[in-house]
Amino acid sequence: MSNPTVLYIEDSPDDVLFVQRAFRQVAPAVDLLVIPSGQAAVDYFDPAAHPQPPPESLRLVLLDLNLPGRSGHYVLGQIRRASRTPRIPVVIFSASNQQKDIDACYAEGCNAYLIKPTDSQGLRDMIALVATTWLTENLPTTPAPILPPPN
Amino acid sequence: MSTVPRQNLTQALIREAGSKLDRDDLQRLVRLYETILANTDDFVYIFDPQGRFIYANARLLKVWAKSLDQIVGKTCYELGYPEWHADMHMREILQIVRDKTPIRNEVFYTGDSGISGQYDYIFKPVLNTAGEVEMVVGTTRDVTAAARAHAHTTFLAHLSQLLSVVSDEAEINRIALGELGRFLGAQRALCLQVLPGGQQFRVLPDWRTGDQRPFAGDYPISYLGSSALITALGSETLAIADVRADPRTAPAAHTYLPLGIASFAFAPFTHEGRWVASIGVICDQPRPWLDDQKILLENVAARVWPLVERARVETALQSANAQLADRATHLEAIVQQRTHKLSDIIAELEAFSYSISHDLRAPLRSMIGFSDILLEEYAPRLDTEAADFLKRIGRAGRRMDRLIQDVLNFSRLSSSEIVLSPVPTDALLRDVIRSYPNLQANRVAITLQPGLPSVLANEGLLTQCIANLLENAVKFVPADRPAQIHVWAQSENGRTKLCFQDNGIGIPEHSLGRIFDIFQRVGRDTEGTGIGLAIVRRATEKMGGTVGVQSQPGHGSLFWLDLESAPQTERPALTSAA
Repeated sequence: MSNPTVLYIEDSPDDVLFVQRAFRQVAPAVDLLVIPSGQAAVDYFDPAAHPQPPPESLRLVLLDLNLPGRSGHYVLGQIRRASRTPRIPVVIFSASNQQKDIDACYAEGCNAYLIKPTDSQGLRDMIALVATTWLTENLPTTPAPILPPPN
Repeated sequence: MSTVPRQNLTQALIREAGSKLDRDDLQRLVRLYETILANTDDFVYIFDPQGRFIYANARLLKVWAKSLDQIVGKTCYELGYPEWHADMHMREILQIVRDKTPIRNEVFYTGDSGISGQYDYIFKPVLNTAGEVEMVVGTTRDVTAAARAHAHTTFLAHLSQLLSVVSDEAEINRIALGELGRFLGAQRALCLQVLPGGQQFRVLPDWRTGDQRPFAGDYPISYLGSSALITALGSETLAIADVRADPRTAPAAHTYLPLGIASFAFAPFTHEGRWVASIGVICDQPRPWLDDQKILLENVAARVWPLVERARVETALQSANAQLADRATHLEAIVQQRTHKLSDIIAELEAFSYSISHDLRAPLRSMIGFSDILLEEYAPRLDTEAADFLKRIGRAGRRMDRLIQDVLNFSRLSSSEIVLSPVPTDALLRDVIRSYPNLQANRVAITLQPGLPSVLANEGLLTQCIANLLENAVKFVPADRPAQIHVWAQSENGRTKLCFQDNGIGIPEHSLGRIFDIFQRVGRDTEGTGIGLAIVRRATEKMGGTVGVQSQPGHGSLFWLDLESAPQTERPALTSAA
């Protein structure tokens, strides 16, 4: 069985670096795939824009909210409504602790909402928890059937 | 006449004279009747069947200024009646001769004096022994005054009815003047008001015929005429038949005439003896004024002016009401507008807060993260001083992060709407103590008064207040002694004072006044952001409460929250102190 893949949608290179490092330290077997913008993420899930389907090993999407262009909220909605993987677990990974952000994300169907920790130990702990919860303990759904691209 | 008969006079005379009357008797009889008929105000006359006068009583002869001899044998035509009038009587006489039945009729007649009259007359047939009409006897009564009185009464009733359905001053004025002017056959009718001070008068919009120019406007009182005339106008109903002839107006006739004022009649309206207004009519030709027309004017003035005044009061009231309503609406609009603006500003501030939260914290996380990584992965290559500097960078970053968070929490307090409900302080305090690690350290002892009451509060806000107060209390205890905090409550007059006594370093008096202000840090507080107590105060005020403090350096501090007590639905269970 191939390594589980985590898709991390994040525009901040520093945050990407921290999260990559944390995965390396606590869950080295995970393939971390990074998409640096909202539009690129929407395209990734859109069969028309991205004919190649997400890999079957994709088990989790880590989604930042404050993205340039298309926001994380929009990306979440597109994943749920207009993608080949509408049931993929999506964990929000944001610096915002605003209730309206939290509520909006749950309304759009996120699976969890995590606040980005400030220090490296906190981040490590959180990534370890995420890996355990979503990649080890949580059972994936069957992949959605691959639809032919629309005419 | 020797005796005064008690029964029918003619019968008595005949009886007295025996069964046969001689010429003297007849002459006597005629004199007697003549005397009687002369005393009546009515006209009495006799026509022969051809319509020739054979008799007219003294009253009628006097009007004609003729003697009986001059009229006997003459017809109405010959006596100078207008043709239509003579025709009418001739027709009537012939009809009576034919039908032998009386006729009663009315006739309107305008004499040389210009005064029109109304007459009510009866023609009756006198039959001879053969049953034919031998004579026609007529009696005529002048009913001019009665008819006019009736017309005036009808007019006043009509006017009252018209005015009863209008409440607008201009309408009242327009209707009353129009009706009055037309009824009296005038060329202009107007209402003038004496303005306060008596030096000016105002002509309200006047009614006029033809293309006469309006008089409406304000004028000096002297424009009315001589002071004698002004006095007269203000004290009596003044009727001038001809401004050139009347001594009161003649000297100024040259000023009246160009204005189309040849004759006028005005009735004043007085209030407590003071002249306030006049209503009257103006004619461009001289004309006589009858007493009952003057009375009519007085009646109109007495009816119309109070209506005008009432309409003014009502208008003033309405406009005052409208103004009030306007202002209320205006105020409401302003309030709405400002509320809207404020909401916009608050929304902007929230957006700003959000971007602060995100944009400021992201680089901070990088700073903290990279200093952590350096410390973790490059420690062997760093000397002690470099490691210390990195730790300082990390500490400063974390402190800044807390500061930003606190500012955000504080600003959210002002914008959020909150709901108050009964909150059991006992349970809440226990929760807070359990969930804040600082409050569970070995050296911290918090005691709660048993049975702390419920207060009317917002649980989230009250949690923040209590946590801030307890953490503060712990923070400011010198390291060499255990922190001892006692919490108790006093309920009085529907309010509950929740008190927090600590054994900390206390607060200098000069700092007490500003301790609840934002960014005020007292003493050696190096960790704090200076926002905690500001949050406590703002949150408490948001819940309708107040905060307070008593302290002396070295003797600890007493902080309290004064909140509304929760309604007493059930007694809180007595629980032992934690």
